[in-house]
Amino acid sequence: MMVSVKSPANDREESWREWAKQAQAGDKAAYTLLLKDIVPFIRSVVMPTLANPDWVDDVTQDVLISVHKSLNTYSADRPFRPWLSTIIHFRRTDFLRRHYGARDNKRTTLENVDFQREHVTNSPFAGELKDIEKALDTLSGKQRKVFELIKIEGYTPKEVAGQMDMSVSAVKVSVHRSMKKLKGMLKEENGKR
Amino acid sequence: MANDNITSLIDDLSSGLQPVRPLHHPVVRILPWIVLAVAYVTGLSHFLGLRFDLIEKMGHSAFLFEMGLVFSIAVTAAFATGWLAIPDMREQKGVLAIPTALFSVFIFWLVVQTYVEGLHMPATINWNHCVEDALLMGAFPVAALVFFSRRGATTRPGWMAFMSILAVGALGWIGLRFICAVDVVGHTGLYHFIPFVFVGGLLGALARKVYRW
Repeated sequence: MMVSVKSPANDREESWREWAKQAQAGDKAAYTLLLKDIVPFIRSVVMPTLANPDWVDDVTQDVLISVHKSLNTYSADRPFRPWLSTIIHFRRTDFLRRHYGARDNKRTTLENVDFQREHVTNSPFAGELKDIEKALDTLSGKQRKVFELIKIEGYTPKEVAGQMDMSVSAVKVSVHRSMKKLKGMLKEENGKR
Repeated sequence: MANDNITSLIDDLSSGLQPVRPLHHPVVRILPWIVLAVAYVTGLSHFLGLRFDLIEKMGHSAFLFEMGLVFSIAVTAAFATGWLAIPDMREQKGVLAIPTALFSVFIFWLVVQTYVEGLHMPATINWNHCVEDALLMGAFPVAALVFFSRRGATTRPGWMAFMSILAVGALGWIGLRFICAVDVVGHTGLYHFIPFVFVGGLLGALARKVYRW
């Protein structure tokens, strides 16, 4: 003889099923309750399986959108949890495929010194990079900032002028002078070798 | 911050909610496709011209077995696409095993036929009208089945592509066997089977895009 066991998990399953059914009929309040209630469950499923905790919210959002798109495929006579779990696994796999497909796992920020020390091969131009850094140090604070914004970060002179409270022509002159100074210093360094 | 994003997403999704009609049971959803596809293949076979010895072939048990087997593949694979259109397949993953097993029997049947009767490959391989007929047989059913499937949300696009081409290819095979009088495996394999393998490969390669939701 089958005995139905009343447990929080069963209660939750019943609530999800009922809310999903009402959401299919267009009940926005029930739908909000459903989506809010499934978020912790989604997180608890994906969290232990992702290498980076920052991805959990991305996957959770993907799952919520997928639940929205596929709401018509849920059948109220079926349990809700397996339906949701399949979507979670599908979207997690999709996310990881996109992530590794774009080789995002091979990227890091320039500030991550530990990673670079362990994983990035030392460039044959490392010496020259040091020379450039040394040359950049000889520039004044403002000059260096203007130079970096234009030549390294790619801002336009107009944008930098706005940001640094300078005229556009003053920005251009500053970059030109910095460039000339750096060229001279690097030529000098090359001559020493 | 992340919680704010999720809360605002939930608000957006809730405010944009429209009533949706739940999908019917997979069998109910796929039955119209089976009826339409069978009618299409039957009509096209009549249009292209039935083989002269069809009545005689209908008396051969081997031919009847093959037709029965292939029709079973078509029907079970079509139903499987109905289940695949639901994310969790209503927890009936076993439905994939039936058409797959039947297809294995069909391949074995072709191998046995080759062993008993020989391969008899055509002397020269060229563009045969059977290839065109095969593509014609498959064109409408595959388009209709993809349309039906895209109304659902599959989490197994590869399987969906495989089951779709199995259903369409099996019906196409029956149609081709009804119009083409050449029975040797060298011909049927090359001109009746390979076109569907090609289309299936294409659908499989594009499955993630075709069935994206």
